[in-house]
Amino acid sequence: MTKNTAATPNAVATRSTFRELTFSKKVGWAVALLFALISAIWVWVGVANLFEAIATFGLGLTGLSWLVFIGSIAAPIVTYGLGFLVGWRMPAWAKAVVFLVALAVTMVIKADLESLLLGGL
Amino acid sequence: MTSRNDDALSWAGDDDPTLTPPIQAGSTGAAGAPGVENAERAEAPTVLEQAELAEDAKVEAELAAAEKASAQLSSAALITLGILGGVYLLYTIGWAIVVARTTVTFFPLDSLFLEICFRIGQFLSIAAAPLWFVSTLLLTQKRTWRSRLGWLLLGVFVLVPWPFIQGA
Repeated sequence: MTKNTAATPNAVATRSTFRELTFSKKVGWAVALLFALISAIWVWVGVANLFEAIATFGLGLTGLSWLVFIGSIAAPIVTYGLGFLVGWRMPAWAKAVVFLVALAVTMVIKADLESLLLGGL
Repeated sequence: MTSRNDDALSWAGDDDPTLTPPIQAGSTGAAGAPGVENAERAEAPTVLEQAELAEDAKVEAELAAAEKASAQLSSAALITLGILGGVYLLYTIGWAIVVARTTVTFFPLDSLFLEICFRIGQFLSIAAAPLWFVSTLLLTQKRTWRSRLGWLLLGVFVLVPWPFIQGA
């Protein structure tokens, strides 16, 4: 994670460590870490759901179900990554906002996928 | 620099001193008329005047930049924002109806932790549209109008309440 901190001109040769970062950048990394943990919870929930479905129905799930399960696991990872890119040069509070929106989008995508499987209530 | 005498062609009136640029006047006619040169120098801006001019130009530029930064949105932009806001409002209502309609959960909620996760997820799916709208306006303040519009349009595509459309 320290490779991204090469903001000073001559930091190419001497890799700066986390300790040398400014306070605001440390807060930014803390925000990123916090939302990484929250996203990881949702990945874990998706994986648990997938295993439960396999335990119940066996491996003979339909293609659509696989799409829903894999999509539900991938959605938090993808949106977190996009949020990371979008918030890259932003201050810490803006990063938090971006990650929150990314998490909300994850929930929207998950609901969309599950509605696919339920086929319209 | 070549003098007028070396030119291949010459025109009548070439020697008119009022038509001669100051530099050439200095190189060719300096020996003949030192008084003329002094008069030219007196009309050139002094260092103080140049500094004042530069300062004026700087202030003008700063003023222009400040006016540009605080410029009001055009009426077309305002109308577009209003329409998009309405779309986001409809999306919010759509997601709220989806959540209110959900009676059977897709996965069993057999622990308090999963229950809490599920509730947070429901809340976030309702809050996604207003969150996207507000945070886009908040974070793209310094960007161009085109990028603001682009992010808002992206949200319109991403946040479509498909479960609502399917169930309606």
